[in-house]
Amino acid sequence: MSGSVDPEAGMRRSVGMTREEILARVLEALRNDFELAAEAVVPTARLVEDLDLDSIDAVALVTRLEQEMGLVLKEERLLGLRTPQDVADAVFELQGQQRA
Amino acid sequence: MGIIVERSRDGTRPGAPGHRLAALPERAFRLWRVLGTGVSFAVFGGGALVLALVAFPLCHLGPGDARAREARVQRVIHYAYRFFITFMETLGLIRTEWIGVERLTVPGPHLVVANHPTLIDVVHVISKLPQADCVIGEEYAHHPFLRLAASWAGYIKNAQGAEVVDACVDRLRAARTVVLFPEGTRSPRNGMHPFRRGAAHVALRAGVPLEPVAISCAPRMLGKSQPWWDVPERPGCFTLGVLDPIEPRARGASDLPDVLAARRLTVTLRERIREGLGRVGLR
Repeated sequence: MSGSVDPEAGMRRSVGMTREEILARVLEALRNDFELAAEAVVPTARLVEDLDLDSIDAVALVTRLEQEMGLVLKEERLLGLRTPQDVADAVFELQGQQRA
Repeated sequence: MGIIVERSRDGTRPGAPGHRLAALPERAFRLWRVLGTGVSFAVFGGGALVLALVAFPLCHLGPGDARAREARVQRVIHYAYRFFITFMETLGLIRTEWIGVERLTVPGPHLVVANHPTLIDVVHVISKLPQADCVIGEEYAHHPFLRLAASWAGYIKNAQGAEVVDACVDRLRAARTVVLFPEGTRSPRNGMHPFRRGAAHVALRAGVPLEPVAISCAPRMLGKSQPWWDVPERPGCFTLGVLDPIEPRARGASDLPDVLAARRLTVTLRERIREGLGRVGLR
């Protein structure tokens, strides 16, 4: 369970991205992949209650972010994620760990 | 659709089971139905116990693999539910009318999806399906006999979303019939809950159409948070309309990602059932 070794993903890997840049990517993924209203997709929106994501959507979102950023999020870390901000924070922390 | 069934003033059909009981004075008929509903619950619970402890283990003794044994259990459940519906009709508690059920009786796979106004919707649906795999919801989880029966029948446990979808897809690929209630629990007093998208994911992955059934019960009985003894002023008339199937991939949408396709398909499904309810409920 370490960073991806897929070369294509590595090209766009998130190493060095700021927390804000990562958050922007998460919001963009939510708007594009799930056709959610742009104004509803805010950092503090609740993924399940406000954005109506289900478990299958969550897997799709995480898979997309992992591919985009060349990271692998641990399953136990995913359980506590409630908002786009939480997701961005998790990716940011992981990026820090993998760079170190 | 569009079949008009003649009904008398009290909503009963001449010659239907329980019609003569409807001639009782109103209060007496109501008291009769409270008692009858209690008896029905006892019969259901007792029957489930006997079947789960005796009949289902016997079904598993015969030849065949696990799937064949489960299919025998499912057939017994089908007959039991058929009996139970007739029993309730005979006591004058309910009336039942199916529209277009022939569609579900041709060889499978079938992915049957229905709204969920009452406690006995699954009983009605399975009373028409000799083989049906169900997903067991929360309402069954704390009922020991039903849980035991469900496990003999090989029903799918409602765990993680993705696992349930996988299990349903497997059954459909084996040409079996799967029954889902996308509301997840019984409907609110008016209208329906939002639909979960699992049924749409199953249809997309298995490549089979959704076959919607619009279930209406008027006047309302055995609804969510409605006690069993709260019988309506006249017997509940159930109308179960099998609606036109919905292909999972609409024309020109074959390259849509699954999560989006499932969202759209779920909207279409809910709308089809809502519109179907408008038609069956108005009569």
